Amino acid sequence: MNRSILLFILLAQSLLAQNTFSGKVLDTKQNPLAGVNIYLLQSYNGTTTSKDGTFSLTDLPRAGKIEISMMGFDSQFIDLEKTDFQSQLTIILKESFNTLKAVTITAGSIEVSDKRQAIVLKPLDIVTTSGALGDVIGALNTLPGTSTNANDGRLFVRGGSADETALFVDGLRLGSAYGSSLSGIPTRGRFNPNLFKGNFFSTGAYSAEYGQALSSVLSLYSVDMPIRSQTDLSVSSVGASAAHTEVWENQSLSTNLSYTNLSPYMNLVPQNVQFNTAPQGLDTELLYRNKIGKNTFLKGFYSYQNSRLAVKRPQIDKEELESTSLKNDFHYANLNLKHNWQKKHLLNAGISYTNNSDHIQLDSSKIKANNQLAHLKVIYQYFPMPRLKIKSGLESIHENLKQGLNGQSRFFEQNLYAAFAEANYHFNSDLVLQIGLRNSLSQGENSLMPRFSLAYRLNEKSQLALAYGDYVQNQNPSILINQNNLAAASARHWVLNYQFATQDLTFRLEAYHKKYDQLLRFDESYTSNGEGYAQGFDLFIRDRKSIKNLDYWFSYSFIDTKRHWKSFNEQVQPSFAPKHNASLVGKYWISKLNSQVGSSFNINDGYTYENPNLAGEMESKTKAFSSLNISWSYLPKPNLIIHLEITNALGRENIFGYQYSANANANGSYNEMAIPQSAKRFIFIGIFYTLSSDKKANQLNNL
Amino acid sequence: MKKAIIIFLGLFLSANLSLSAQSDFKTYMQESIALYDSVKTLADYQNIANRFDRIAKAEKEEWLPNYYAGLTYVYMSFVRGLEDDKRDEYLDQALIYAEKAGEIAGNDVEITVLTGYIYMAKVSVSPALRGMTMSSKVSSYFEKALAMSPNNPRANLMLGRWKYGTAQFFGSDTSEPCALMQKSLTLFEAIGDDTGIMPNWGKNQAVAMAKNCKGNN
Repeated sequence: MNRSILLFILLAQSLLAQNTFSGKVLDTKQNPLAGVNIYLLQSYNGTTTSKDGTFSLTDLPRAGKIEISMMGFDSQFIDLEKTDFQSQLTIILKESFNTLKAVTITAGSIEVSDKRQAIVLKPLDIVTTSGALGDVIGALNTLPGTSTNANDGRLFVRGGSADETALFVDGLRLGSAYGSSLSGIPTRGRFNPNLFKGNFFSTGAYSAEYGQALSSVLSLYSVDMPIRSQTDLSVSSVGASAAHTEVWENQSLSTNLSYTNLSPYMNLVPQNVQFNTAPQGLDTELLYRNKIGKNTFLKGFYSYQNSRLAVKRPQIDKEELESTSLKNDFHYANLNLKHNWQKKHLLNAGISYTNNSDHIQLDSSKIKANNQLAHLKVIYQYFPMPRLKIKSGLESIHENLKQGLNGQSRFFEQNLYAAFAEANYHFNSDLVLQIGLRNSLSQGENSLMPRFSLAYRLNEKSQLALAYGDYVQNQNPSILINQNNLAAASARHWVLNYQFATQDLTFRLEAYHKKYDQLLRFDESYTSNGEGYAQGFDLFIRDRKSIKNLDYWFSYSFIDTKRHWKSFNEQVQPSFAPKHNASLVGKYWISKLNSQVGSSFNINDGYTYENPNLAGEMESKTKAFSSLNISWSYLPKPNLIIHLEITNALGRENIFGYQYSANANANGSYNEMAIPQSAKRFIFIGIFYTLSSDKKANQLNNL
Repeated sequence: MKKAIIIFLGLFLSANLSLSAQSDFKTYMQESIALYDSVKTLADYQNIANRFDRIAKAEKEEWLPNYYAGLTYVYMSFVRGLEDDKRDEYLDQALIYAEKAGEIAGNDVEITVLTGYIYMAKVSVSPALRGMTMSSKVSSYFEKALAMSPNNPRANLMLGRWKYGTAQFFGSDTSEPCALMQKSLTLFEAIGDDTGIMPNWGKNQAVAMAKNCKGNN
């Protein structure tokens, strides 16, 4: 009896496992797949396919499931009960859809991030681009689609004025986005670039999420969770700063305090402009993050800045120098809450508030301006499957402006509401389509704006993209305060983009056409019946491989633009949009010296201006603008950086236009005076020191 | 009677199966770990990784199979002649396994070291691009591991290796990293070669690095 039971058990066990399953695994192109894992679920019984894709799995029971899996492919399951063990099976695995590997829409947009290999700019580039002096805007001015206006400092994109670019911090509007300055003295972006992990810069045809920007959008994203607590100190030729980041279990706080005063520097280095008060100011920034549970993230940002400067400058029709002084106070706060659930839903709610006050004294006149902007935005995103993303949102913007002149004041305010929805669908890894619609309501004016983009991957390294969009932007509040019934300006963008990218080489060619309508005109009174166009192409090449340790990029932008606006009688080329724009940026790492040397060169064919001595409007052009900038960063120790930078190293006397007398002189001609750079060169020397538990950490780690 | 026999048989069979489960796990793990000694090609590594993947999927309460699968993908990323994208794919896969292991075991020193190792390998894919931005991440994992378990030989070794590399890059003093690696070697020797299925890799590296240190001084 005992023996027969034993026999029975052995028999039963052998009956349980006696089948062999064999065959071949191929991909969809019929190539054999090696290394595929084939196994019986809930057991260790399995095998790996060999070089030719074949496999043989033995000792299988009659019932059960086989999984065939491989990294990067969708798994397949086979039911043993329905399997004919006699025949050789051919199994075809399909490559899984991977958002990271799928084609993305590149038309019009430049992403500054570490996420992808083939990108145009890395966050680190912002602070290591020669001539940018650690300013986000300065670095972006070396990218295709932009025109450098070195006496202004703001972003001018594809024939658009600086007003036509809207700035966002974590998706929320930043009002008064540049430091206040006087005309002819370049400004900078507001914030310390170390607070941001990346940004999204679009030079046209951007998504339905963005409104109130005719030409361009720049969206900055703050660092989520820093890795460790650290303290950064710096002293430079123009000031000093201290920053500290404290990291707790699920929270962190970054603080930054910097004081700038150019007066010692300006006493040493002669300036073209006479400063009564050298530019000086205080910047503070606070960034708080809190990870609440697994799915919720809260971020709060606050910045207070104040600055002042005073200049004495000659004016063409005045005997005496004209004095102007400016005092600026700026507050910006935003609060952002992100919550996701079931890995399929993401809710994002945020609010931002900007308060900017300028006090200007022009000779004996006192001018006051106070801008406030509040932005409330809620976005809901739904990801029903990896290939489909749906984004929708609501927003409201309140903006007001108070102006005072010698004790008299006036006030303007406006509200804007918008709703948008957008779907992004990958037909496959090589084809993506995005369709969006935005509807905005402001001052009783309703605008429906379709947006559309498409990208198609031609092969592993290159792709084509096409994008289209309609945009509106209300006239500037400083105009609306005079006359508030002006229709919003509008633009229609078309962008066609070709990109070839490997890990170390990026080549982009982009052509665009932009049609403007309802631009501001002044003809006895203000109207919105101006119009214009901008068209051209951009070229961008970035190469990190041809020469060892050298990383360089080159961009060229051709802009053909004319607009019938302001008080011009005909279509003219605006002064801020030179036809040919190019820049070359290089960085070379010399390991023997622990140094990075950098250089950048900007050039354009000159700015248009109007000479009353000649017939026509905006008929003249200044000589070509160019600037060669050099920099040297030395890292004697990992946590210590010494940085030297000289802008316009060759001291070229660039001219940005001319001022003319209001009246003709005795010879019947109008006297002219050139508008020069505020200084021949700018020299910066700084020492950056970092304290943390990791002695290697330095101020570049944050990026 | 017939029914009784069937029940009895059923019980016997299932007891037989579950009794063997735990020892099967150990045996199969040991067999798989032993395969590291004979690895010659990428395919050999893939085979080992697949084995650990199978165990991981069958034994949902065990962190070790996930840990080893992750470690194997790190080794795979170091195989010569791979394209950078492929190396990144392997390392992303390694990260998935390390995360799974962490979900099962919680805060564990070995998983923390492994995670640091993965990021270290990511830096090595493109030092020029990632060195500046990713190095703090690497050292923070190794430091965290060392704080969790000051006498873990791998935590000492990896932090030592990482600091040694940086010190060499900047031409600064290597005595601190060398001390860490020397300590790791002492710890490896004290532990011995047989740790069953618990992680025990790194001794060879420690020996080689300790030699490097001596050569320099």
